Amino acid sequence: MLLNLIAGHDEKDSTSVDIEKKDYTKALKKDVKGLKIGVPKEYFGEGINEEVREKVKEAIKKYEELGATIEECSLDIADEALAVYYIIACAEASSNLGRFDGIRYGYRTKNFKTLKDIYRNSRSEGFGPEVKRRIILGTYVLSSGYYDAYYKKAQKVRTLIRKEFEKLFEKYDVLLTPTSPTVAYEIGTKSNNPLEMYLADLCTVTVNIAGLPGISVPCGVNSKGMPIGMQLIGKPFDEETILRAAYTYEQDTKFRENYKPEFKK
Amino acid sequence: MSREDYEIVIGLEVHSELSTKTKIFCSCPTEFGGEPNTHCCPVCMAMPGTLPVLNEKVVEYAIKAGLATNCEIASISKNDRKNYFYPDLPKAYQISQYDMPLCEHGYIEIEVNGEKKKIGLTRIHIEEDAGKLNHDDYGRGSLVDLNRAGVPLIEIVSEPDLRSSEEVDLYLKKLKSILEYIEVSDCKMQEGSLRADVNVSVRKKGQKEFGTRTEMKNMNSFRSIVRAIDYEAERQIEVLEDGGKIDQETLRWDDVSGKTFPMRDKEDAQDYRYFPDPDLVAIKISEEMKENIRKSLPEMPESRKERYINEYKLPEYDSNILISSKYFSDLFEGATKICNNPKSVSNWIMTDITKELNEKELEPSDIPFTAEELGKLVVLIDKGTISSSIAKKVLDEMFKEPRDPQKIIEEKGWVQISDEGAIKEIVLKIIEANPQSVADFKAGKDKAVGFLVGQAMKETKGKANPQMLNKMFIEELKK
Ligand SMILES: [Zn+2]
Repeated sequence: MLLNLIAGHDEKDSTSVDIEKKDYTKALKKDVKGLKIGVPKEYFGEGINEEVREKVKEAIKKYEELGATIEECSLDIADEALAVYYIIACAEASSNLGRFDGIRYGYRTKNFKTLKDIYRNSRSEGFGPEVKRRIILGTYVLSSGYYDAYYKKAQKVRTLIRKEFEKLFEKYDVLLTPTSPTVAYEIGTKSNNPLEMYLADLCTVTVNIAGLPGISVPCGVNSKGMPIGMQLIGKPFDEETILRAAYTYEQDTKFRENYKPEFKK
Repeated sequence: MSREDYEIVIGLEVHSELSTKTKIFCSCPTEFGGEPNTHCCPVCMAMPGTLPVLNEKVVEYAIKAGLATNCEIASISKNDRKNYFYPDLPKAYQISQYDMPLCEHGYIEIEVNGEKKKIGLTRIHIEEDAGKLNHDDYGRGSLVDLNRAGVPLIEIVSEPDLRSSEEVDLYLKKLKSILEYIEVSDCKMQEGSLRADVNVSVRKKGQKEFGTRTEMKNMNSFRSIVRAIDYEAERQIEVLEDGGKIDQETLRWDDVSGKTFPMRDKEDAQDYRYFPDPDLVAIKISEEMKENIRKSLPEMPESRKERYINEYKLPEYDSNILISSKYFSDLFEGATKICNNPKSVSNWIMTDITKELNEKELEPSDIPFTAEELGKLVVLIDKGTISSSIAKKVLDEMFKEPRDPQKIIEEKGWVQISDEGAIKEIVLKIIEANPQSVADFKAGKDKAVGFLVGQAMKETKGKANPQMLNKMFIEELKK
């Protein structure tokens, strides 16, 4: 229902695409017969938690039972997607966050004598470590002398990734991967290792980079009761197919109705 | 070595505000003035979460400028972000164009000492203007006014083809006139809608490589630019002659002392970290769009000049002055349509109107009255309703409070006295009051008539028809 509301062209956003609006609730049908699902093997290799791999594979089997055709496929460039994502996202963030300079928006330091002090101190005091990390990274990849090696290259690889997906979608209707390589970690446990934190985005950022619709569907819990999700990726603007696939699975397994999360105090 | 052994090399980056109704990425008005921060919205104030939408008119205007300056127009172009911190730049980046400008490889022709010279244009690109800082008078700080933020600009970058301040002056005047003719900018210098960054270097004549250049930013008076170039070239030559070396730096021109100074804040070369703006999409320009814009271009000055010489039989001298500004040219054509007396209109523009503008330090664009009103003024003279000396007073009035000249002469009672009876009455009165002049005339001094006419004009405050006075004095005196 939210998708129905936000879909369509927004004249105040030049990057939104002007295509006909669809009623996505009509896509919620139980039917995956003949649906061709590709499973990129790169998302089931090293770095993926054993329990996650197992649960997602069970879901794949379920789809097979429901009448879908499953085939293993390869997405060589998947490894690069994470790097591409962090270069582009940080570059944009470093520029987008420029406006929080203590002049017009955001926190302003009390400690300044010159204009430069306002900029330097407001931003030093106001931003948290992760934001600073991304601004520094983003500034670096856009700097003269590094732009071509990082930002421009990332944009080129992004195009390659998109093309790679296009090729896969000539053969498949939907691609299926885990949503995250591991289950959620506890708050605060990874903040000292940003790289590991970035790696958790491995599966999901790819769709952002390639401009594809994705949906995460719960498909089980691990031994500690932490939820595991699978991700369905569709062709550009083909939200209907992944919604239908997700709905069919959900209605069949009733996973959500049986899942009673316990929250630690 | 002396001054004559050096060659001056100048390149210009001219920023011109476009006269679109709305700003480049939002629908705020571009109008100059207004209470601070009243012509802005969340987009041009850079509220987090807002997105820019490119104003198509800006692209159209820039392409017009490109076509009028013989540029190649890109089929695909894009917007880039130029990142830097300054309080008048709320987003901390300016949306500009980096490596894919809308227009490239053009030229403007100027006439130097009777010879035509092409000045190359590297590119024309679109960008947004920044806000303005109002420094308060008590030294407590500066206030930011974002009315100008997001006003569309084109930047016109010349090749380093200019060789003297005189050429720069000619180039700027020509460029200004082109932009006025195609109606993309009103080019009001005092409102900052035309500003130039001036790059100056010198080299020995015959030397192939360029010398190290210095840059003077944001200059908004042609006169200052000419002075600054002359001063800066002289300074550079002196430094080189003394065995010194020119630093590549940004200078500030001080109009009062007539000198250039290094900018106080000497940053290392700024890294603007240009990158394509992810909030905007590529600008695609179809052949059809280019053709439509080409067709919409108005008649250019050169063609008007031809017409003035051939159709209106004006001297080339007049024609050149009239086409020097679109406002002159339009005024001339409009007024001539009303009065059908091109030479008289041309004379009024070249003499009295130009004089008035110069005295008040105004530009042709500031002329307050319409072409129709000027045309009517000429009709009043041609019909003999007013004398040309009264017409000058009417023109003064039209500058002060523009209105129909017929109304002005009625209000002021300036209608010329052409009634024979009335003229006769005056003539008799003056003759009676000046027996000495009458005696002089009878003694053969013809000049006495002139004196008497003058007296009569004085008496009538210039309203009497001088030809009639002259004729009637002679008649009466000969009786
Ligand atoms: Zn606005």
